[in-house]
Amino acid sequence: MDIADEQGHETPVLRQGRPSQLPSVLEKLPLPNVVLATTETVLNWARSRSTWPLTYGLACCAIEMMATGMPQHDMGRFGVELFRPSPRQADLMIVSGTVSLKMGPRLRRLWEQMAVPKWVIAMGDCATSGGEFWDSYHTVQGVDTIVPVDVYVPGCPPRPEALLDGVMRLREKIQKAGFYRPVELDGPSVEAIMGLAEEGGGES
Amino acid sequence: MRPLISVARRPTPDSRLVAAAEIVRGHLGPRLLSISYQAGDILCLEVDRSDLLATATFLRDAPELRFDFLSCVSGVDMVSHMLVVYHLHSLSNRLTAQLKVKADAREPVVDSVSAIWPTANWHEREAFDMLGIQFNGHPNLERLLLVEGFVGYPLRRNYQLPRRRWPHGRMVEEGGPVDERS
Repeated sequence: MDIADEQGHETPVLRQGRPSQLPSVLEKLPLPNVVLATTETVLNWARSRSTWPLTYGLACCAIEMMATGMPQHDMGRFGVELFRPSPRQADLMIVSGTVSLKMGPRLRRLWEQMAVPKWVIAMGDCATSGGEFWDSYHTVQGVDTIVPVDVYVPGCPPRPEALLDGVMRLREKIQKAGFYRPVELDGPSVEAIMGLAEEGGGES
Repeated sequence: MRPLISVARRPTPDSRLVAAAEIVRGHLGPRLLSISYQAGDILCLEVDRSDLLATATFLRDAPELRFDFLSCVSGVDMVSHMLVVYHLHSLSNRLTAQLKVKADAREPVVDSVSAIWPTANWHEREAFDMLGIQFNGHPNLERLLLVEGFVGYPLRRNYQLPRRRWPHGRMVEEGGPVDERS
């Protein structure tokens, strides 16, 4: 729906909002430079374009993540350039690398310290499923056993383009999400993650 | 008649290494279980584990040897026994040696050399972590790399992976993941 004023100038309206929720009175306002949308659309639009990642690298994927932040690929074009050194200031956790059983509880704690809303990208094969360290004695077999993952980026390690594509997917996901969506905060406790190691390897 | 297949000759050991070997042989006598050269420039010694501390002190302090740098302590699971290998360097005399000690396969116990070479502290902790080798007299023999509370010694040949809790509550049977479609 475009609104034309008396001089015939047309102002585009964001189309992501649900039209049924727009008040019909406002649609007919003959004002220039007016954008109509739901608060949900506007807030999700703002959130999806300023996801600040946590400064958190685990392995070789972290090198690719750094390359993605550098000028050649410039993740800052999409509002993802501000790597925050504190989980309190970060929205996005990019799990870039192998998660060992020792790192698992720490990762969970960092995720718990991040403010809601928050998102997780599992970058690379190790974070996705254990990857190369499948059936290893000391590797978490997929970071989704510890924290809820929004986007999986395959590759070993993924190229910066792949991570950028993951960021694009995350954008779409955020824009489709309800503003007041319930956030899945439950999950394995730190003690339960520690218990993964305590089930014990036997001797044959 | 010349042989059809020429066998690569072992490189002759360095003369300084031969001299060092003679000193070691003269001092240890029958306590030296085996002595050989590897690649011509590494002196390979093996002693019983009861003679380890005396041998290590001698190797460090003898003026002709002065093995003052321990670069690595490795544990090797040889199935029949556990092998502990010490890689030694003499910076002043430019010598390299490896010292081997055998231990029991199931309950390996070896004296700690961390009082002789302080760098052995973390190396021995790693060997304890991965292979369960007990180092007597170690100041702080705890796991170094693996998570606290880890059960078992993963680099032993007979180590079995634990049954694993899988995402969303599924379990993995031994030998691989369960395919729910089958």
